[in-house]
This record gives sequence, C-alpha cells and structure tokens, in this order.
Amino acid sequence: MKKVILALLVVSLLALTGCTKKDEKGKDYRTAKSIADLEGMTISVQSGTIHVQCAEQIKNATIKEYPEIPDEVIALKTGVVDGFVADEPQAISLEGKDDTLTYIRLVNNENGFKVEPSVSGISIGLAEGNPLRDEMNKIIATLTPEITNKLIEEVLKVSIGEKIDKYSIDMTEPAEYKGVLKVGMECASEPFNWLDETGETFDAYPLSGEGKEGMYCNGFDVLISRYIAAQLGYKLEIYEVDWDSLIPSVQSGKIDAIISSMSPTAQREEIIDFTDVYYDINLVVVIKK
Amino acid sequence: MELLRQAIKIFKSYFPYLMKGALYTTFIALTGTIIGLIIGLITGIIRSMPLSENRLLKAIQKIINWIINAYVEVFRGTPMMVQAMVIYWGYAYANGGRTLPLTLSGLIIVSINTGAYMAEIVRGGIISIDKGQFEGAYSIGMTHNQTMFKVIIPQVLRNILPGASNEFVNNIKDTSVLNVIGTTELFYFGSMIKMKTFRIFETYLVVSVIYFILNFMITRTLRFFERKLDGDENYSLADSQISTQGGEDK
Repeated sequence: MKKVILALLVVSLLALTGCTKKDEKGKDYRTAKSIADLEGMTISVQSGTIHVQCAEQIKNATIKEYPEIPDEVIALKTGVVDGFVADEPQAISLEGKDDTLTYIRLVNNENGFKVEPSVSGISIGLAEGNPLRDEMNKIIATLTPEITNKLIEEVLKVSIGEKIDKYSIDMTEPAEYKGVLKVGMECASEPFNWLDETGETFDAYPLSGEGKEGMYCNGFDVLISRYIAAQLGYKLEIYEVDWDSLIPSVQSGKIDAIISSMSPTAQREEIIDFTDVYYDINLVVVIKK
Repeated sequence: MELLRQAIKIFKSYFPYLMKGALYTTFIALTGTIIGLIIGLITGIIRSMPLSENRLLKAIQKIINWIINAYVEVFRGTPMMVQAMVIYWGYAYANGGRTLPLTLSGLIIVSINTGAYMAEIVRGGIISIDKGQFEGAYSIGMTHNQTMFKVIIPQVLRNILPGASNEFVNNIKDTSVLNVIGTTELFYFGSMIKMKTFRIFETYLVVSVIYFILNFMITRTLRFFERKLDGDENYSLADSQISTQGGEDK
C-alpha cells in the first residue's frame, strides 16, 4: 500500500513539472514602436487609477490590475504581462535603473488616443469644503511649467542616486507655524513619491506616523508639499498611506491633503475637492526592450 | 542556487527592519492573546452562572447572556481584516479624523477577535469538567464565585492550554492582516523590501521563514509550560512512608 502511494506521489510531481512552460503567444512586443504595434497585448494597470481608461484604448488588450507600480514591474520582468501603463517620469526613472525596460508614448495611434485634461494632469485632493483650496490654488498658479519640468529633471537625477546642489525651488520653512498640514502620499512610485528608508537620497524628508521613525520620503510630490506648506506657513507632516486608503483618509480627516500624483477625475470629484492641476503628465506604456 | 543567495542577501541587508517588524508582530500577538484569554474567562464565568431567583436579576442576566452570545457570534463570523477596517475607519469617521494610534488599534482588534474565540474555548473547557466537581463544591457550601475561582478555573486553565496556544499561533500570523490599516508589522516590512528590491519570491520566502521561527519558539515554550503544570508522572504516597517507619520502630 505504501509503495503504491509513493509511486502515485512521484508520478504526480513529475506531471506538475511539465506544467511550467507558458505557451508562446507568437507576438514579441519588444519591437513595438507605436500603439498599433501593441495590439492584443496583456497589459497591467494600477487598480483605482485612470490607467484603466488608457489601457482600454489599445485594441484587443487583456487588462490585469495590480495594487502598486513595483508589483507591475515584477509582473513585467517575470513575463506575466507584456507591459503596463505609467506616467512618463516614472518610466524614465525605471529606464535609468533597469536596462531591460523601455517605453512608448500613448499618442498617435490609429484610433486617435483621447486624453481628457482631467486624466493627464495631477492635482491636490482635499476634503469637501476645505478652506485651504483657494490659498493652495494661488500658490499653484505660481508654479509654471518651466519650474515643474526643471524639478522633475532634478528629482529624476536624485532617484537614480546622484547628488545635486539644491532643488531649484525655495522650500525654507517659516520661523513660526500657523498650524500643521498633514499630507498623505503613496510612497511607491518614483520619481513622484518614493520611500527612502535610510534617508540617503538628497534632501529626503522624514516620515511621520507610528512605526515610521527613521524613515524618509523623497520625490516631486514631496517637494510640492514642502513648498506649499512653507508658503502657507504650516508645519508639514507626511504620512505614508496606501493608494486605496488615500481618499478615505482625507474624507475622515486623518490627513488634510492628498499630494500623490492623483488625477482629478469626475468620479473622485463627487466625493472630494481638488485644487488646480500642478503638473501635466504624458502617459506611456512600459515594455521590455 | 541563485534564489537562495538572493534571499540570504535580502535577509542580511534588511535585518534591522525585519527584526523591528517581528517585534511589533510578537508584541501585538502576545498582548492580544492574553487580553483575549481574560475576556474569554470572564465571559465563561458569566455564562455559566446559574440564573438567580430574583425576577429583576434574572432578566438582567438573560440580557447579558444574550449580549455575550451576540458578541461571540459576530466576531467569530466576520474576518479579522474586515473587523480591522470597520473598527479603525469607524473610529476615524466618528471622531473627525483623529485615528487611534496604530499599535493600540491593532491590540484592540486582536483582543476583541481573540476574546470571541476564547469564549468558546473556555466554554468547552468548563463543560469538560466533571459535574461531580461542581456538586462537591456546592455541597460543602461554596458559592458560585468560590467554586469557579478555587475549584473549576484552575482545572479549566490546564485544559484550554492547547487551545490557547493555538490561538496565539493564529494571532502571530493574523497580525499580517493589520497591514491594511497601516500597522508597521512584519508583513508591512516585507512589502517594503519587495518594493525596494523588486524580488517578490525571495522577500516573502525570508518573511515566511521568520514567521515560522517565531511560531516554533512559541509552541515549544508553551509545550514546556504544559509539562510543568502537569507535574511529575509518579508520586510517592505519604502513607507508605509512615507504615515503613512504623515497621522499623519496634
């Protein structure tokens, strides 16, 4: 009896090892140069973001959802998906760190890629009726595209580990604080906001929150938060919050503002308020080279 | 093997964070289980109390018994992740943004959840005590409280020790669920390492080994305590010593 069981076990294990080969789809997306070349790909998006609407514009695409960008990078590298939707600065940062990845822009496909302004811009999320919105809009009006583009370049350099002299925006904190501004961000997508656990990147800002002592964050959204808090005269506290918990956090009052490269879509406008757009992004699809 | 080398590299470079996470996990699980045990014992005592003759007290007792039954059913019947979200966000919405400190809310969630399971384990422990113990205690005039605390509970504690250590082991693993409200325990640091190194399999292999080591240490320690409570296998009776002495004493 024991020998029969052992034999069955060995046979089933051997049969399972045969199941590891993935069927070759026959199409290699590494040579894709435009959106039309991406037809039929398996593409992944971050759940709860506007990337879904972008992925739907690729013909015959199979869409998968993942909670964070690092999960999508792992899925791409292991071959589970053929590519994923991202913002152009995120793709540039990934390209700089990893030679095997490249990206193509979601423009100029045969159907005419449609991008609404609310999808291509990022702004600050606030609870409904927050009085700070008008003051923040005034400060955002001073952030011209020249300033923000230069900041993105500097942040991209810092994210690869280079050191720069200083950021080209004045973030000096005021001598006296009128109050506290609690900002929540995802801390998972370079170069907009990333987690720097040792604080080694240039001018990283310490994280607040229980259990996060000695950890820092850095990125474009961190710079914007510091600038706005300094201009408003508030002390800045940055909290790390999961993407899906950002809107409940600002609704319940746990944080005052969401500055995490969130787009002001109509669906979100119904439940929270948004300021004006502080940066316009190009959407791209990241694929293997 | 490349995978093993990468896993060891991750373990070495992120060691302080893994230890910090393991500390939070153990602390929340240990405290939560102990408080849950106390809650379970209290509910067991209350539920086993005989109904009093007085009409008013009888009504109050029935209401309290019903509340305890409802608590046990609700908190056993919903997943701990859902309970965590409801308790944490419910408090935040009700209090205008002031959230409970994360470790405290973790303790509350784990204790309430464990208490519900412990109530049933204690009920099973009390049922398994021989009826003769109750009858003997009542017949020599002990009140219900005296019976419980001096005769029944000490025996119940020994009987529920395997069930309680089971709950403890479950809690160590269930604290990973608190990641959804942001508690910085072992699973959180695992996902942070995965984000930094882009190596999902090696990271979670290291994390699961740490969980296993924690659980193994705890189960062995609790097994040691069980053996200590049991005492020696063999005893020598005092009578036989006297009779031997009597025999020598001519």
